[in-house]
Amino acid sequence: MKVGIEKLGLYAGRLVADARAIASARGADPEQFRRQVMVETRAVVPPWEDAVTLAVNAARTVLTPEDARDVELVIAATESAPDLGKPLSSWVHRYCELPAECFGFEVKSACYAGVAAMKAAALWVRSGLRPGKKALVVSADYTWRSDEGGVHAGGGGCGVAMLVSADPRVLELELDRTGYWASEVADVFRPTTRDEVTDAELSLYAYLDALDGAFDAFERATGEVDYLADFARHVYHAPVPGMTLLAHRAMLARAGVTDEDRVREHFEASVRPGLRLGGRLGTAYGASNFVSLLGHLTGARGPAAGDRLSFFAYGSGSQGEFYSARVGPEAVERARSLGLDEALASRRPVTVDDFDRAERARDASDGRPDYTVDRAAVPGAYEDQYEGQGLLVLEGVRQFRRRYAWS
Amino acid sequence: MERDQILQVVLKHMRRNLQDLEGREVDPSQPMSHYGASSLDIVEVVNASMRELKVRVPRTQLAGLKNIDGLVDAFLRARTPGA
Repeated sequence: MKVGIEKLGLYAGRLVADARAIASARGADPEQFRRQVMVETRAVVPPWEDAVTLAVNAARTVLTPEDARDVELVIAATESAPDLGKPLSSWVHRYCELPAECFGFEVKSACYAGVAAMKAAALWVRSGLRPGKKALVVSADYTWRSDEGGVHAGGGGCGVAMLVSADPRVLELELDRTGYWASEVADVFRPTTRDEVTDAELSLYAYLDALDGAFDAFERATGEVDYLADFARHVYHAPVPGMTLLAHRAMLARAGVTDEDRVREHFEASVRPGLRLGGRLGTAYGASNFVSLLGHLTGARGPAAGDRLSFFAYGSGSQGEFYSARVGPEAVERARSLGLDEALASRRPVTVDDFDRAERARDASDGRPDYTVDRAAVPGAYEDQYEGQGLLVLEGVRQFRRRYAWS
Repeated sequence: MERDQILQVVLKHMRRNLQDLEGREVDPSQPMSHYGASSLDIVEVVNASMRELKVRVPRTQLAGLKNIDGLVDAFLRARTPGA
């Protein structure tokens, strides 16, 4: 039985900030930032958006009423949940109008959660217990709470949504070709609903240890791998896109390739095409593998149907997984029909000052039992990008109950 | 391998990865960040040094080292088990 992704959509929001301008405002060299971190612009998530709206707005780019009728499982992956008990999946279930005969839950595992959710859904489909039924998987996150220094140049936020089924027209998973690595480490974590603690150096080390360990396990499961020949493209978790060059260089070194020119050439051909969307979004958290997949599929020279891709997923705390999958028969066509480049180009630019102010406004109200979202927090943005667009937006909170509406 | 040889490998990879180190004396009692290394730079220097020195140690043990000397000592310990 084939299993995998039948449909895949991305919602990157309607607002954008120049990441280099933010880097410069923070005293960093914008050109060095662009070259090493490989981010040009980043998503701005305004106070009227949250993980619920990102998830639902992503789902609605691909889910039809016919699809919804076939969904019996909904899994929402997030580390940006608006509630510690009520699952994100409950709001997704409501606003995607899924059938009552459905089971759903939320998954939290730092940046690994999106892949964890996809795998859980795929294994459920693979069980064959509910023939014809499908799973809706969403992954939605955004950078939490700017610190005293203001918004981060490499931060971001987005939602991806996928229909997982026995008709994998976009990505056919090879469920037996996978390797895992788990090791407890406190590299990046969110200890309260408003704080994000990051030890960047420790996290990069933990990521690379997980990549080594997961690939070792992958080879034990599949037999020896010819890393340069077996995969048409490579996808690495991208806390920032620039991290994928470190990852790929480490993997090529394992394969005996250390000449820097050759490393760069191979990187440009097999990894860089996947970064074309991420470089305009910033951090995608648990959606990273899927954002990179869409990057490959919507590029000028997409992979061919049947091509085998490698994926490395990593979540802080930590969890790594190295897995392979094959490009589905309608992958490129379906990805291009999403109009992602046009959607990204039509976002409204937000200045660094407006962005900082909006984040402080969010910080002032988050967690309070009663507030109304201020649509003027980013001047002109709501009227220009949301009014009459039929997007889900957060109106406010009353006695801790979240109130959403269609814009 | 002598400690100084390990230090020279680390310094070599620092010069390859960091701008503006040309002709500059590097003081190993300083951290790499003192010479403008970002987290990505530091990890790349460490990775490249580990490959060349054929050191296999969990990289997470190398986080939070105070300075370049600390890294060199960690590599030395990894290459001389039981020392």
